Amino acid sequence: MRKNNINTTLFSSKSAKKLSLKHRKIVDGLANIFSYIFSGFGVCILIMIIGFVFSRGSSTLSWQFVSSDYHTDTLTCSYPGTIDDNLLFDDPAIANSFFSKKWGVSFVDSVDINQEDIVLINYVDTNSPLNNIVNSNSGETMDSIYDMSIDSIILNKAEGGVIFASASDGAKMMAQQFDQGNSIVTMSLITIGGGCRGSIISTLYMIGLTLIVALPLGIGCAIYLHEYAKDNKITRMIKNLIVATSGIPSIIFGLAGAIIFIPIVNAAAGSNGGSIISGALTLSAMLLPVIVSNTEEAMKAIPSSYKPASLALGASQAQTTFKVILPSSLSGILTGTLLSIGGIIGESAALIYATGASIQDNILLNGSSTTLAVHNWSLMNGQNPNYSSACAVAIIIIIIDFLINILVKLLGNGLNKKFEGVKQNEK
Amino acid sequence: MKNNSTNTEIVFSARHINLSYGSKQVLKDVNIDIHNKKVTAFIGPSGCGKSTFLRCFNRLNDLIPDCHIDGQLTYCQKSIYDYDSIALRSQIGMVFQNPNPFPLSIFDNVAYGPRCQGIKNRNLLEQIVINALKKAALYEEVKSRLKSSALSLSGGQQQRLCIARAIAMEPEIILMDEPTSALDPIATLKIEKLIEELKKDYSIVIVTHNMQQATRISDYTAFFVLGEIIEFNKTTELFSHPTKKKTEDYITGRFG
Repeated sequence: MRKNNINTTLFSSKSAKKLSLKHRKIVDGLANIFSYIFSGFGVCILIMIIGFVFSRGSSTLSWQFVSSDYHTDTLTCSYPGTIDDNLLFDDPAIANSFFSKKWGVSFVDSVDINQEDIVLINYVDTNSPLNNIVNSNSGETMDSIYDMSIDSIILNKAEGGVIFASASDGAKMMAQQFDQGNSIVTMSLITIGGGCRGSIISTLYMIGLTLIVALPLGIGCAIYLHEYAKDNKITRMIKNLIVATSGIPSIIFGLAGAIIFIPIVNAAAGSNGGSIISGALTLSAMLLPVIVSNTEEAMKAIPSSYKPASLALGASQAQTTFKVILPSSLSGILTGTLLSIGGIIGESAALIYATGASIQDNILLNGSSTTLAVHNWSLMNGQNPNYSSACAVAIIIIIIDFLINILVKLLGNGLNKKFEGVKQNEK
Repeated sequence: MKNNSTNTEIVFSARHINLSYGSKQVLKDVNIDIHNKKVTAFIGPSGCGKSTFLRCFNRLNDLIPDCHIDGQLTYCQKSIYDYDSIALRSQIGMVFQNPNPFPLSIFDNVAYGPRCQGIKNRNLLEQIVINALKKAALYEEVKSRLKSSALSLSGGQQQRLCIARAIAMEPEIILMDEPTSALDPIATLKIEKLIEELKKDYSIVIVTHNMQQATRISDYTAFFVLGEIIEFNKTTELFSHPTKKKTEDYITGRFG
């Protein structure tokens, strides 16, 4: 009581009050300034990173980049017949391009995805003899040479002898040389490479396969833990273990996947080394904790009155779980699923071990390939790190990530609307 | 079994019920008979074990891990533990304190019980649902929107929906655990009217805090204090001539 009195007198004394007010203002001001500076700093860094990625990658990112193979293919072909010297084609007059009137083909100087100079075929007349060139390996007539780059060519001159041209001579020289020849001895064409089509397909496979494995396991596990398991030491230990597991670095999962899953998948699917299947199994193991804890949280969040209500209506435990509890916790399960999709797309370390890191164009479930994140790593891993391609892949990953986030919000909102009535009741 | 019970006067009886949660004894030697097609009210101060006792009827206490029940609970001359719990609960319906419809459509809420029993025929389900909604005096209000969410209904409508949901199972007994405590007076009145109607077909056991409600709707009243039944009698008798001092104190408002 006495102590209280002293405090009151101290507190109400004028000098003490003024001092504390002034002091408080200074402290508050400092705290505010620091929080502004730090949050501004954080936002700046984020914007800078995204800005850097976009500025470096946007020039490379194109539909061609998304849809073309990574590896280039060199095709050797020839035009054994001779062309009619008097037949001249109309020049479509494409800017910066050089046209060969005799062959009806236009060339342009360009760079490939690896920023190396190439000569690109950017126009082929519909009646051009180049529509009838023959692949030297297969002996078949080639479909189209449009949008391929020309590496080198040997032509027969009309007056006898051969002429030669290569990509390093440039498009102008190439067109001139073409005009002098009347048949093609051999021509090597290069398909456009450096794209990430294979890795996009591989990423989709990886997402699909991982979810097929991880969702039923994770949801089943959550149902067991929440609905069936008795609340005892072992259950609590399992729950803690699941939480702890989500903190293990992914590279350790990758290592375990390489040791455990690769041999199993090799034996079962006849693959050799890492494959999409072994990678998906590794990711499933890695994402299981995320799905289990999200599902369990969602089940905890639904009104506790549902379960007795259902049981009192003569429903069995299983009916209650699958008809009431699981549908009601759908929003949490979806959030968990989308988060794990984000995890699958972003994961690189584990997959380098469990799936491999060599970029492929032909995607097989039991073959090695790279997801977009590992593709990115592979681009930077060589002797000449390819920043622009890596940044383009990064943009794709960032866009997918943003889309997933938006999807989570939309789905969450949609499902929340469904539960609004419940929330009002709970109040 | 159902025929059997309709012929007998006593549909449910409890003998020497002792119930404890862990070491805490909640019910002490409770004995009661529930009369067929009558409304039995449980009154008493909070925490006296009324709701706990009610939950013994349909074995909902089985869900609580360290709940221990001793004594004999008989439904239709047979111990409730001789029934399969699912079969028992489909004959003893329950309505809870807070309206708790599932986040499904009105139709699906009422059809939930029958569907769980394996009824799939659409026409039959429709008949059951409409019949139950009519009995619960809700059909006229919702007939145009059976497909809309049950959560869009008002609190009183939701509670009547929960009653309809219980009725759809065609139970013998309906347990009501303070069904009107979360509702406003008008909705309460509607539910009370409904109970008057329902007792023609069902035996009803209702837990209530509201003594006026007990006098208005019940035929029998049991007065609980600290896990014991102090007095059990016809409602008119109990309220007009209480035999025990505690009962008199409680109903006159001097205690509780």
